[in-house]
Amino acid sequence: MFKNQQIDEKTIETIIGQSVKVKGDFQTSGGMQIDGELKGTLNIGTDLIIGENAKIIANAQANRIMVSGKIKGNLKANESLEITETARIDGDLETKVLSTEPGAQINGMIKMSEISEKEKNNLKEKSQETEKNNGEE
Amino acid sequence: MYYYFYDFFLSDNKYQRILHRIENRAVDLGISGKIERESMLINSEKLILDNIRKGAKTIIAVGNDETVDKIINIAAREKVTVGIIPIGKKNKIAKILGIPEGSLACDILSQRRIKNLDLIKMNDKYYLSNLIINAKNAKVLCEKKYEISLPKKQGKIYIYNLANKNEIKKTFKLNQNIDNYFNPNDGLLDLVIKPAKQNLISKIFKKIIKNNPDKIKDISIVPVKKIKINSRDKKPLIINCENNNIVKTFLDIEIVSQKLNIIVGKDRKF
Repeated sequence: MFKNQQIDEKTIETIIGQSVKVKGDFQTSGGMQIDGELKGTLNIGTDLIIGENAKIIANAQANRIMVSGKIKGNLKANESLEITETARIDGDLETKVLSTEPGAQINGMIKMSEISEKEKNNLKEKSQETEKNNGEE
Repeated sequence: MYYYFYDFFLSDNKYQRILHRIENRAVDLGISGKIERESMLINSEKLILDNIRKGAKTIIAVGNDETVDKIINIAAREKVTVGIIPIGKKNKIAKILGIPEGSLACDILSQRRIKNLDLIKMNDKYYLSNLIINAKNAKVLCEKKYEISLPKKQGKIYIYNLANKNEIKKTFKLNQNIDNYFNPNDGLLDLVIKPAKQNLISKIFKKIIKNNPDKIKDISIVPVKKIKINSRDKKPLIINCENNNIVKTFLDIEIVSQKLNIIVGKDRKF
């Protein structure tokens, strides 16, 4: 797992467990974690966590996305996109900040948007905060 | 004007002393009013409605969760305030609202700490706390946009508005923080789907093989405003609400924001 995770699990409102299947267009202003199956589109207001067991066939959009499962579809993360070693992505990615772990599979194009100075500073602050919290733990 | 609706079960002699104490305490606090007992011969809703027409502004349900269920509909439609005096067992709603049992509830009622709560509307009827739906082979459509398929061997859907969070944590064996859920003021229903039952071998497999089983969520919690449930095979859906079973083939469920004025205690659980 990433040490400097930007995703805050407290923002997660919707949880799709691993034995549940969802079909259709899903839209929420809060965060979402998926460990089950989903077909359709995903429009998430804050954070999206695609768990290790998740199987998704959808285009997804969120502020921050963390992928550990399988996804067929394009991903657009307005802020950051984290891809862990177990992730399998068949689709294009668009984000400002991208981090991948060795072992992750990505079959698609990656488009990186420019990041402003203000956003850079915010990210620095956040990662420093996370490091500090991890140190305290 | 206060109107006290006594549940039918309170006609048992063993409750006479406690009812006496309640009536005396109500007089002391200046919240006494008309008392009527539920009767097998008269329709309860009609009885309550007659009294609302005569000027009752606060309806007090004296009894248990089922008594509350009997007055919720009429209170929501007529926009009168509801109070509860819990007596006996099955008083989960009163506990969540922070109302103590018996005559102590009168003190809470006299303080008139009123909250405007959301209600669950199923077909044409209102419910305060939760619905448990046996929805095996049913089509579950949320927000008219996406369909949820239940796990095999698990046909139950739990829909919550008001709930005791500690009890929920125990029932569903949840470790995570659930402060954001089960809030009767958020304008949302919380749809909970339990994981499919696992046999011993798959449980052991999951523990040994998966690196981090705690990170994988088994339970599903989906905050929604509208749910439609259709029986696929025309078999009836069995719904358990406030300890009563109802049978329907089609369910149209939605949250109605701030529909009920109800008196709560300061020890309420939300």
